[in-house]
Amino acid sequence: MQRERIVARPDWRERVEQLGFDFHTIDGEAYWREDVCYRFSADQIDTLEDATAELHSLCLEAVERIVRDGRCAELGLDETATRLVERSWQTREPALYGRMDLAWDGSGEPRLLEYNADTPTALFEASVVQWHWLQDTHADADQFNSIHEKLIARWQQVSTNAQMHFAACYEQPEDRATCEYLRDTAAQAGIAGSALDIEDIGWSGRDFIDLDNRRIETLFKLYPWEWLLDEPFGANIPQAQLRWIEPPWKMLLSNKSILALLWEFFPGHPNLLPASHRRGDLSGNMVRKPRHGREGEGVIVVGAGISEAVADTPQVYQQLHQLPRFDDRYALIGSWIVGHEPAGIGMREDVDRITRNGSNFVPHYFVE
Amino acid sequence: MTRKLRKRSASVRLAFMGAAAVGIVSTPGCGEDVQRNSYASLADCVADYSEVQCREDRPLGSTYTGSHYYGPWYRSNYASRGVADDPGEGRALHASRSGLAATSTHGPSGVESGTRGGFGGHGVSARG
Repeated sequence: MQRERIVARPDWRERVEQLGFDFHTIDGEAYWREDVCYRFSADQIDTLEDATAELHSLCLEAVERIVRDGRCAELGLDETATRLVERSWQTREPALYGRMDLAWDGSGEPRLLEYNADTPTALFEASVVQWHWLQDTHADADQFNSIHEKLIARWQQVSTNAQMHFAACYEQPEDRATCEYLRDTAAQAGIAGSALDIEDIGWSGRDFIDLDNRRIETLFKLYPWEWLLDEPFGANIPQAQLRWIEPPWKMLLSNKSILALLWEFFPGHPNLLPASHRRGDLSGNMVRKPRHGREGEGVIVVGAGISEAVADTPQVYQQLHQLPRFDDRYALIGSWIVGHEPAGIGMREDVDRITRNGSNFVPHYFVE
Repeated sequence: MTRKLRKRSASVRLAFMGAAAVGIVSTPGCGEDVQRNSYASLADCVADYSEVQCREDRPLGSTYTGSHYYGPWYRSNYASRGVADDPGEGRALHASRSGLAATSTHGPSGVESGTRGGFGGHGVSARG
């Protein structure tokens, strides 16, 4: 695993914009960088793929145990959310995708930092933009990235309807791109999708409806479950006859409390880090994460001699595991699951050791 | 030994992204209510809308099993906004509100209300 300084394509901006990637620059700062890239060996990619499959298996087993043993309340779920989770898990409502954030320097075992199982983004750049970059710059090499073809295949298993709706905060460029990209892949799987802003969803008194007042039967929502349930229409969710993607049971995996439960269920597992709801259960430096934080929001490092501000929301503690540093950048591996299969990776890097919304996305390739 | 399998997609083709604009029709914003007219007969409904816009249904929140006919859902503030993709309040109500000659049918027997804008209150990116 190496970070390489390379020459960006002279027309990179036009090239990526032609694909519909219009947030390569965020708040005036580069988000997509292709003057650097990451190089892996084939064996290293195999290690990442195996670890991702293993972690996915552990996560499904964890969901099974939580539901079976009635432990949803430990993740902060109320009765309504618990019933939704239980029902969707017991009927095995299919999931589409997720992204595990892994810490790994190319040797030893990759470690799970968190699982973005409900509303993962950075999808379009991982699946499409870096694939085209590889075609243009390293056509003889390979890339751990079959996200696109796996998504198309997965849609045919996930949706029982030929007509779907896709909802997101369409004013947000990243959310719009993610949702539109998924709608595009669904279309290639033969599923017609209507896009609407999450605010435009209506409630008829019996069904959720779209802007044409048609009943929504299957909804992909790029909007977190904890927000849906917290908002006025949340009270209507239990009575709505609607297939949700991602399904409600993903609430358990997108919740940082899953890290503590994974460690309880599989203590010492080489792909996990010690984690707990109680700081006193861990020693040394650790990372404190809000239960529902996103993109590094609210994440702090705590430990001996480091003061800890009082949190007003539930927190999870995870043993500090430093991200590898290349040049002056900390590198994070986002490893994608589509359906039940590892599907590829996207690299993020930052000068700070906590990866955030604006952290650079950097393409990768691998060779024998 | 040759590599087992390629790990990249064989092709990455987009059906409509990049080349076409996003298919959002409009953004009415948060908190807009919707409603629909109920009719005693299909003929009354068709007189207000068209046959394809009328459906037989049960009243919301009722266990009553008899026939009612309903027009399409429309925005409650349709009259002031005149949104292009909205089916509107129907001919009879429009005539009554506008002071036009009354239609020859009975018009709606009632109006049922629904709502919009119950999601999206967080108003920020779901990026994660």
